[in-house]
Amino acid sequence: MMAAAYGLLPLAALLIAVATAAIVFALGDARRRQRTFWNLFGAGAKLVLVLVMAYGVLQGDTFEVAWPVLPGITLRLAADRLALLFAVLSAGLWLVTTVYAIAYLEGSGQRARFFGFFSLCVAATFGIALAGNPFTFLCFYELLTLATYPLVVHRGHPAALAAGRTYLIHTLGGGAALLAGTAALYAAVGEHPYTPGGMPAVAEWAAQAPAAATAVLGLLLGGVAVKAALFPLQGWLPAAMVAPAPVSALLHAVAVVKAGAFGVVRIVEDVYGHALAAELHVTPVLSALAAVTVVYGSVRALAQVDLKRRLAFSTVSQVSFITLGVAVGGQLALVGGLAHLIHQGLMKVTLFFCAGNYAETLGEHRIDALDGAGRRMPATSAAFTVAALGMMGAPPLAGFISKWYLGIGALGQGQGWVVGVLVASTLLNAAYFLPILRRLWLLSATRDWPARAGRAETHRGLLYPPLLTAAAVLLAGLLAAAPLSPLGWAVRIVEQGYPGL
Amino acid sequence: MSVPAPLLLLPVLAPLAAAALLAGRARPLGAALLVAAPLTGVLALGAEALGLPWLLLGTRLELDALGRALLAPTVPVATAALLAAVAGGGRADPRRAGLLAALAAVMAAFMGVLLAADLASLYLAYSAMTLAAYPLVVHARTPEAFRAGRVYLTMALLAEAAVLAAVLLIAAEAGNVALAEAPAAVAGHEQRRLLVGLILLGFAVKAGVVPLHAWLALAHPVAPVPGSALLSALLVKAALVAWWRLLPLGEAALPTLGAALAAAGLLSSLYASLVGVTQRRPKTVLAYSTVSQMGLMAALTGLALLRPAAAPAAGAALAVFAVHHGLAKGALFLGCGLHGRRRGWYLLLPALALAGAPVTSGALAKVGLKQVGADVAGAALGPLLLAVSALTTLLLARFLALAWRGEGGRDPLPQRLAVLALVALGLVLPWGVGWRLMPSGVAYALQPSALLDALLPVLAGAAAAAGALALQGRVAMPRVPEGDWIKPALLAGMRLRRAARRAGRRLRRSPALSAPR
Amino acid sequence: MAELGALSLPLAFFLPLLTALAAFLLGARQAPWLAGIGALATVAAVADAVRRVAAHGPQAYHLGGWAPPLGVELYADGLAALMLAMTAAVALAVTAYAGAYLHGQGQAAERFWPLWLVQWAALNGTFLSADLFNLYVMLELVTLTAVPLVAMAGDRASLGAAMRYLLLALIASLAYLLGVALLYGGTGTLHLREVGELAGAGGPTAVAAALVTAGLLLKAAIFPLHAWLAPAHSSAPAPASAALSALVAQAGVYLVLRLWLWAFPALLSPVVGWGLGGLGAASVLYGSLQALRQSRLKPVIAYSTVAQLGYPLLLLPLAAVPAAASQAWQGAAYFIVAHGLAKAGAFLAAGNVYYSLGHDRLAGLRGLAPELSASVLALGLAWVSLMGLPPTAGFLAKWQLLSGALAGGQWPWAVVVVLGGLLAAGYGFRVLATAHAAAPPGGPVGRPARRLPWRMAATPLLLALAVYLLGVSAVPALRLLGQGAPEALG
Repeated sequence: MMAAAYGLLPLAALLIAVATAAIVFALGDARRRQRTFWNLFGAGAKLVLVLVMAYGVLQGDTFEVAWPVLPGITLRLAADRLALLFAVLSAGLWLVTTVYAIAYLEGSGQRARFFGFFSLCVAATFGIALAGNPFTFLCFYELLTLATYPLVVHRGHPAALAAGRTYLIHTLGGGAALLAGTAALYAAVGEHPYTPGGMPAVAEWAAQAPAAATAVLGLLLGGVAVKAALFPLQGWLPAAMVAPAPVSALLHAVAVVKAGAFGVVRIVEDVYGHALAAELHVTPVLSALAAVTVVYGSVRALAQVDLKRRLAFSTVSQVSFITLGVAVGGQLALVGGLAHLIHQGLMKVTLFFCAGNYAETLGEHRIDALDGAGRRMPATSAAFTVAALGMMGAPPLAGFISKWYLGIGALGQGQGWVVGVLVASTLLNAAYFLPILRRLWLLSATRDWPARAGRAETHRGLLYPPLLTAAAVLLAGLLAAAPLSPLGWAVRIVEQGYPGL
Repeated sequence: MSVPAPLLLLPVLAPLAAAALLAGRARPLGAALLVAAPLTGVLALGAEALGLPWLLLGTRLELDALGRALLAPTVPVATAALLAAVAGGGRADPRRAGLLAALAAVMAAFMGVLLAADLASLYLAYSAMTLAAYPLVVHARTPEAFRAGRVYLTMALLAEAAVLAAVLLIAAEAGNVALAEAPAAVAGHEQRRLLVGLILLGFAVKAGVVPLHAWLALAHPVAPVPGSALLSALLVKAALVAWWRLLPLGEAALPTLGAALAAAGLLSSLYASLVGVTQRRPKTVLAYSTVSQMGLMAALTGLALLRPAAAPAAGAALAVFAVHHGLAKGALFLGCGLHGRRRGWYLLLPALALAGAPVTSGALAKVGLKQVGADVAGAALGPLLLAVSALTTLLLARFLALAWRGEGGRDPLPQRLAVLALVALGLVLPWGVGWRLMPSGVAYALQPSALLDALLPVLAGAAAAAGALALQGRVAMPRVPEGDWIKPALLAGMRLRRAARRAGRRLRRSPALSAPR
Repeated sequence: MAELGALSLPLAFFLPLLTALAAFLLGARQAPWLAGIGALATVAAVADAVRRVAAHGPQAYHLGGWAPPLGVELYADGLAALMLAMTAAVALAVTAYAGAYLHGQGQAAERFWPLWLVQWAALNGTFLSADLFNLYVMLELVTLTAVPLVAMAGDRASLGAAMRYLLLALIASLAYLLGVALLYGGTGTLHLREVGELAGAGGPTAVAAALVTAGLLLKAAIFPLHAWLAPAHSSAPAPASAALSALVAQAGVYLVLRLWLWAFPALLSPVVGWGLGGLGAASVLYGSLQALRQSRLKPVIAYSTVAQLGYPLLLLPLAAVPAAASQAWQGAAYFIVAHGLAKAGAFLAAGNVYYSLGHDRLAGLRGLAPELSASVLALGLAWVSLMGLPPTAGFLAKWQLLSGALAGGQWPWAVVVVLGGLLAAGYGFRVLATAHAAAPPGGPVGRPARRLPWRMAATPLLLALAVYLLGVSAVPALRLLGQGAPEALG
């Protein structure tokens, strides 16, 4: 009995998030305390379950839940190491973001709707993480689009609606490509679970029909590339900036872009296998696109005067490192890409929390209005500084670890040009983050900001989440060599899952 | 003397802890800890290597020979500078807390550079130092300071891009290699020439090799005195440390690159002295003097790269030179922070030392340089070094003339004591280090012929200075802006941008391009 | 004994009919609870029928013990059972909803209950009929109950729409009847399966098939015979709209499939298949584009019906391709089920909006009152299925259609399926975005929101949730569908 329940943990974790959503919807707008309780309870319970699963996987246990959905097609949730990498990230940051969002949205309307979809969004992300085959991935991928839309348009003003439109056009288009690709894949080879190194059936099929296999791979990658904000499909991401800060954090760090990047990993490594994808000449194209995106995002970020927009373009740039790591090939680059999945999440969530704090506490959205904000909000600004330096790849922060592995991985594959991209990214990141830091800390304030309400510089629910994630950014880099760091976990995934790379 | 290995972390952590205390409510305690923090560096002399495999990418801390030698100027200069910052004038400075924090961070990072024994840690410490120095440069918050800061950061980050590329190239073949094995790894690297080129270029900015020296001349005058002292006496040496730990010195001969570096170093030295003489602010003159002296140390590095067999001797000479320059330059900069009418007396001895007057540490340092130069390049180098020495003397004479009379006012006792202590240590410590590292050089430097050798250029320089003094007021000194090329370059860039914008506007307005009606 | 065992088949037809009679006799005051009891009884009968089909295969019942050709046979295979079940679910919802919706509208209620219950009976009869003439009778009964439902509002727009509907439906019936007569002349039988066996691919059969099909396509509002649908469905009261879109129009599509797969499989050449599939595709695209252009909520949903009814026809070109047939067949059948539930949910939710605000102009939906949030949620949830996105039954159905098209190498249908989904998202989110929009300064336009009875708020939500329940797994339903399916589709 216990054993059976243990095996069902993936389903339980999924249902917790769905149930939280249902309860929150049912509670309505008025019952704030109960809603807060259920939000935190759901987020906490899910994190515990995910951590139990992670511990179990570490011990060699397997978790798998599957049921037939259509004849010959199953919905399969399986917890392997790669899945848990993403699941731990999403569950952990969900809890943090929930705390933040509760404080952020205090007093605004339509909170039941917001938190309901917020929970659904995380349920979908969890499903994406644990999807055990392409069909399951597709299901949750589309669900994620649906669950995030109401969050993007939450404010309901015309700009939000326009952003929502852009968001939908991109993501539904990508979803359609993914649907077509997945259906074509199933029509060609039937259903197979994710197989590290690629599905053998796909390899056979590709040997017979290389053109079709390439086209399907293109459709699949095109579908996930939208959420991964790969150039030229990145347009939705800066537009979606109009959403409230916790949503931006969720979109940029936890859920949406990560779902796309994670999809790239699954498709390249576990459906086709890197070797086959390279043989079909897809990975060079993918890495070139990722490199272009890295530079393009950074260059666009330079010109932004709105803090959140600058961060958005920075996301466009940074997320592509994950794709780059996968596309370049080789164990080390993949380690770098996978570690960056976590690292980028931690850094970007911190940055958006801080941007939210400036907006909420000081009322400032523009970068040039932040002169001297470090004096007024030292803790927030310290967190921002840590995350921004991490984004630049300054040691000993998380971003440095990613770049280190990406760089040596690419050099090991004889692709030295990637180092050029890394260096360019570092310089550009410095060029758009350091001026912000200069304004925060070194210039003096020119505006009259509202005085502190209490002893803390802002609401504690807004303050602690970025501090926590900033500490995580520091620790993820400082303790990278420890076995349970994000890097250690990524190394474990690659060494045991992809020995052939 | 055996010290537990974890204490190797202390020189890095103590300044950071002090900074944290300063930010909190325990300010006096923090200040006290801050001043005492550099002294923990002494502990490192007796400690074994420390391995922290769980930290970063597997951290190793250890003090190598160069690091050990550099502790000699680091501990006293840092202590003195921090003491001056804590106890000296500027107590009314509203941004004093920020200054102290920045000093602490720079200190910790520099200690990290000295102690790092693996590639990633070295990169960490080095880049942290780069970033931490920025607040020092812009401390005054004047437009001039911000301009200097922008130039500094831009140049430093561009250089660090080359460093990053080099680090990744090494790591791709050897992983996070222990620095003791790094030169061998670089020597055997598939793309050795590219790699060595990147290493040379990447650290040349911090080392102030002409024409990458411009930031030094801008940053030193605007930085607060303790900041300039740290920058000039210590920070620039970090580049030398990195060179000596990464370049395949003694492992492989790279004649072209070695000769290029040696030539660039010597030219730097001559050029900086000449430009420095035209400057009007004492701290700018000192900055150019640093460029000049760093050029000589870069030249030593180049000679070692040129001929592997000369590397050990060059290393020893470099260490002695660095110790000498660190102490002397530290004393000079801190001396500039004094206000007394007779501050010239504080400055005289270190200035003489820098000029290489007989029996001073400078003479010893130049002996080392001369010996290595003669060994590698033959006699051709001799006259050149003579000219360098003479110009150095002229430069320091110019400095003394500018800085002799303070603007008046009482200096706190700790501040004066700090300068005096540095002056005193400058007389002793280089000889001690020299005695350990190049005993033959010490013996040679005290021979009468060597004393005479040292005296000649100093006299020549002094004569030139006297001549210049006599001509003062009658012949206009050429005006060279601080940072020589940087100001015209910035102006040209601005003009270019303006012209481009104007051309763009004109193009849009031109009838040829407008839509047909 | 077997006869007695399948008694639930006639009950599924007669129970609503008897309830209608009782409701007519007892009047509007008693009708709601009577209808409720009748509906529950009917649902029980349908459930029993479904259980029997699932367990024992197709069930037949000869009314009065007379075997065909003299007697009337009621026959339920997997497809019929599925349709019965879907109809029962929708009908239960409509009945529950109408009870609250019509509360206090004496005259309308008096007319609604008998009409609606007879319609339900006729629909069940349509699904259970085993011969072409009975089908005609049932179809006619459905139409004749549908027209007054459209006209119920009594204003000019609804009367005009009803009139147009009536005329076109009569023409359709005539065409159908003519076709049936031709067939009877050629084969001497009207029994579905026998017609399939006896009628060859000859000329007269082809003409008959064309006439029958044309009649049914008109009733199913397939492009270019769709013009009547949108005005009719959008001017009827909400419960009627739901029934019309989810059940009545779908019955036509159901019959197209039923006849082509059972009665005229020999005629289903690639050209015919592509032709009919092409009409379906045209419906999908045209209906969607029209839906995008509407400025009121109910017409959007009505045009979406035009679009959605096109999908099942995509089965016809695929039915003859062995690699594709089975999946496409499952997809088409499951699609009808999914669309029925989702569309009923959407119309009932739209009814709530209308009920509460007194209008359904999209521009006036900005900043909807909190009382309507459950309805908007239901609308959104139902629409997800119409878009064919997971985790809904609509998604599974489209996936099967798509897989069938790709496996059969007929990728144009795959393009239609994907494109149709995107267009549905387009017109769906147009509505949902408006509902999400912040209220214009000065509050929502129109009269203050009227409070919704809880039954009206809950019903569309439950219907929408049913679509998700069916989205968890289609396997039980498809196993049921396999009972008595033609071998080519099994």
